[in-house]
Amino acid sequence: MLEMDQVSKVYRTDRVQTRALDGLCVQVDAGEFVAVTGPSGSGKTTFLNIAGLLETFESGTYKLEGEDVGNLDDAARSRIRNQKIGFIFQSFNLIPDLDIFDNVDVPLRYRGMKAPERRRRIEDALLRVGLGSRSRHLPSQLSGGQQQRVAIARALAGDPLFLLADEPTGNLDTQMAGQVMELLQEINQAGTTIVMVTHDPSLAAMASRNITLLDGKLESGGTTQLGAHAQDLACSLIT
Amino acid sequence: MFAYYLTNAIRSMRRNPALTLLVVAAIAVGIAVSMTMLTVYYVMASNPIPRKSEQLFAVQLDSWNPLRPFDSDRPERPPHQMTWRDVNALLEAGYASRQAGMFEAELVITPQGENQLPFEVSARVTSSDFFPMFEPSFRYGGGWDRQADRVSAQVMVINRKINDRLFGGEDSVGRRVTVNGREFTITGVMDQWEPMPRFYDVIEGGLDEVSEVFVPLSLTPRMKFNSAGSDWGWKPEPIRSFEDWLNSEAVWLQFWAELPTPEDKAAYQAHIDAYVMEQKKLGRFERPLNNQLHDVMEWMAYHEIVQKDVRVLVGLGFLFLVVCLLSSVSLLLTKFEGRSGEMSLRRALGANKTQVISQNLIEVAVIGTCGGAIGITLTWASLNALGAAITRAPQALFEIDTTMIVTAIAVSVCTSLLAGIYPAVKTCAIAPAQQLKTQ
Amino acid sequence: METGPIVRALLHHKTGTFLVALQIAVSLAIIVNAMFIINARIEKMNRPTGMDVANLIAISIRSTGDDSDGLADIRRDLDFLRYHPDVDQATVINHFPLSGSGSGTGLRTLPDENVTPTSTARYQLDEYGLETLGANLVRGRNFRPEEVQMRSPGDEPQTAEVVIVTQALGDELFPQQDPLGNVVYWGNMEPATIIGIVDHMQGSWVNWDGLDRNLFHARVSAQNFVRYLVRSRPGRRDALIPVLESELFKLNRNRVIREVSAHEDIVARSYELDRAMTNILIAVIILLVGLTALVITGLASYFVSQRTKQIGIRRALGATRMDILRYFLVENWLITTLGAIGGCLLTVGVGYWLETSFDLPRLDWRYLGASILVLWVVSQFAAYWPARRATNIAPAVATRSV
Repeated sequence: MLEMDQVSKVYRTDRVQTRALDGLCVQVDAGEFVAVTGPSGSGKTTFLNIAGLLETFESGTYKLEGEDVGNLDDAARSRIRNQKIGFIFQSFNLIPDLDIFDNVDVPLRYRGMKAPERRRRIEDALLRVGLGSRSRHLPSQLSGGQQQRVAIARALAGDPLFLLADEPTGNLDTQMAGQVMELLQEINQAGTTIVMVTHDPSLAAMASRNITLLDGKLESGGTTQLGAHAQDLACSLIT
Repeated sequence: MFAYYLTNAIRSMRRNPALTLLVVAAIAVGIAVSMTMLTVYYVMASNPIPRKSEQLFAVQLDSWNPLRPFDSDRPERPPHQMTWRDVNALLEAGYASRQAGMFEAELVITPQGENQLPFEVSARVTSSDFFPMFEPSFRYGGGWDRQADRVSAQVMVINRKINDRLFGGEDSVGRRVTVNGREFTITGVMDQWEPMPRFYDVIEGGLDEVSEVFVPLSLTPRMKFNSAGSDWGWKPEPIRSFEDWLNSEAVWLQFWAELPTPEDKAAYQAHIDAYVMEQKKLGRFERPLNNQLHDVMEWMAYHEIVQKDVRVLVGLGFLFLVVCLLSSVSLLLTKFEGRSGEMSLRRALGANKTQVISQNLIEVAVIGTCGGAIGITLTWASLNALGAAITRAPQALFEIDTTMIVTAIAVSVCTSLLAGIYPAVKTCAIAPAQQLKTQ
Repeated sequence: METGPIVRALLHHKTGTFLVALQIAVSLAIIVNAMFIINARIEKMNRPTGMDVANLIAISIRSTGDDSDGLADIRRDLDFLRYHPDVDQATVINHFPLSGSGSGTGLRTLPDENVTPTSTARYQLDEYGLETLGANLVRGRNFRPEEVQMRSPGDEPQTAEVVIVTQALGDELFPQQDPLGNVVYWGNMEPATIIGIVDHMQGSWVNWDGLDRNLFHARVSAQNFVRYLVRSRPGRRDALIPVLESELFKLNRNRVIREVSAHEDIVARSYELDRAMTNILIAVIILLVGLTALVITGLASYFVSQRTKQIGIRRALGATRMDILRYFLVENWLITTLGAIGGCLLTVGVGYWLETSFDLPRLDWRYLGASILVLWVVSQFAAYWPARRATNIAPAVATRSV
């Protein structure tokens, strides 16, 4: 469902050139809960940005459901982000001026849905994360855990192909973190694919599969069990 | 501490130069526009002779048509000018300590010497009391005396410009000038004298300039001086000669009396009423008795010297200032809000609320001072531009004096404080910890 | 359109939104009323004159002595003027139209003192007068040479027996009848017959509501002031002025040539205050619109930089560049519109103040519409540039911490 093949990304400043991803090959199947781990600077965030179509890359191919999304223009990439990917960020990234309802509404608005359809989806999503009754609260009136649950509802409401989570518990205390992880597992069991970037091995352990990055390269776990051998072979032939 | 605040303020202004400049510009433009309008209004509405304005009275006698009033829209108003006959009767009777009848004329001066061409000057034809009554300043000599009035002496007062032209600026008292073909002797040279408005004759709106020369009223019959101002008549009278004109019921002269006390005024009113009653017996003054005395400021109001346009402009000018004020408030609010992190940090490091507010207020004061200074410069520039555009009005109308500069400074200080206090205080109302946390 | 969320987001910035809206409201009130006044003044200045103002030259002469033969001087001057190749026609005239200086009189339709006279400006000219002015004699006839009264000082007073009137004066005198051929009475109750009608011509005082009421009669008076009006051949006016000035002086050096100037300049002087008012108000509007635009741009730029993260999040959640641009423009439009609504109320208030305190005519609603349109366009333009910058914020901003 998600296939990256030989993806490379270089950041250039005036003096320094950093190879953030170096021929990365990753494959994720529908229904999986994949954790992407690695130490600081290993390329986790770059992977996340590219997987989420937030950034472009220099070389390699990236396919979503078999469609090559590497060379799309800005508007098309926006549309794919909007329709196929649900984002969950470390710092929640709720819009402070909007209440819970309007925050969940943001991606649906960009999709151009009719109002009744949006309302139904928003209410369902909020119910799912256990915040059905608080839709007119502002983010600042909620706890961190609740805010992250709103962000999850926002990601779910659009019925995405997969959820892309970036250190979803990074800004939460242990208790809230546990609740959020439980929620994510629940969502995964209900059938949604989740790709989670984290540096925390205990979180990664809760995922069904781990991908480990080091210096922008794959350390382990880049493919599903079935395709692992072929994929490794392909990659090693090129490198 | 002040120096520290000032350094911080300047540093902060340089951090968002565009926003800072915009606030300065908004204040400057607001002040320039409103002060320009206000200056013109102030000059028009000012008292041209503050020391004596309550002792000098314009005199009106209702000699008009028995069938209809002088001003059909305001029937209570007598004619604003007087007939030659009545002016002379009142001058002769001498009911007041000083009186002056007058009108505007255009005379021709023929300079001495070869290639000198005759030229025209504006003249005020008036009585000797004009000078002690209205107190123009003299460079050389002075006005003529009452004796000169009585004998219709060919004497004159000239202004500096004409003195410069004819005599190169030297003391010309006693020298002779040819006016309308006759020899006149100069008794005085006036200094710069530009009462604004030209209160002694406001019939044409009061924005006119003071005449270049002054000659005795009693010369009028002999020299056949024609009025260059307006004349109004109601009675069909055959005018064959200049004498017929002087004896007609046409009104074309202004008349002033100096009445130092209220008793003087009451006595004078009684005298002119008695005079009119006397005239009624001769078949003149067929309208109901309606003689009026107005002091200088009343007379200005009577003639609506401050024009409607100017009032409208002052109103719009101050609305404009309100817009600039609102702009400044929202810009400063934005600017200070953007700095709330720094403010919280300062508070966390031990600055109390007053110190943080003072810091903001100093910055606002610096901005206000710059805006005000530029605003006053712009006011001066726009007044000059107006002076160039409106040639008909004397330039005194567009001059900014000390009062107006002080007013402008006061307005700009108030403006910038009004604009600054709210944002400065509001952004400090946040608890120190809150801002740091959400950063 | 995501108007709902934008409005709700704005409600969390009440002070800032309110201030900008209030600024727009006050600006609107100023702009509408200023445009209204400007338009009234421009209409006033552009009223048809009924004369060939562009080609007219006004000459004013004064004799210095009292020994000259006035009528002979006038005859010689007119001969010179009329035979000059660049002159179309010339006349002697008592006052220049639209100069602010003029002579007025009252006419009656009956020889009865109790009839209120109709006031009118009065022009004394010769049989070439109307042709010189370029006035359009639509009915009746012009003055005959023998009808021109030649008058010297000391002559027995004499009123004119034939007059020409403008249509406006004719209608005022004889509302129910044809003025042509009718008789009017001078102040001394002497009669005069209306022999011709000029369709339209403006008189002396531009601020008088009887500006269109004018009376002509044929008279040449020798006084120490003489005025001529000369109609130059098209395009020759400016070259002709200095020539006439020096040649007229050469004809008789014993006089002061007070003025030889384009009639256009004299008319412009009469409207000087109106023009100054118009220019001041235009300047005020330009400053106001400019200031409003700059403030909107400044605030919008600031908000864009403040909301960088938010914009990044929106982009990450699928907003296209177009969506971001639209967001800021809609937000701006909402604030402007809010201001415009407040401005309508304020405008009516200011308009009422002007109407009652200064007898200005009632405000025309079209100006309100036009002004709102101007503010909409200007504020959208002002918000466009910062909004364009906002579209360049990368969606990856969303994943950056802090």
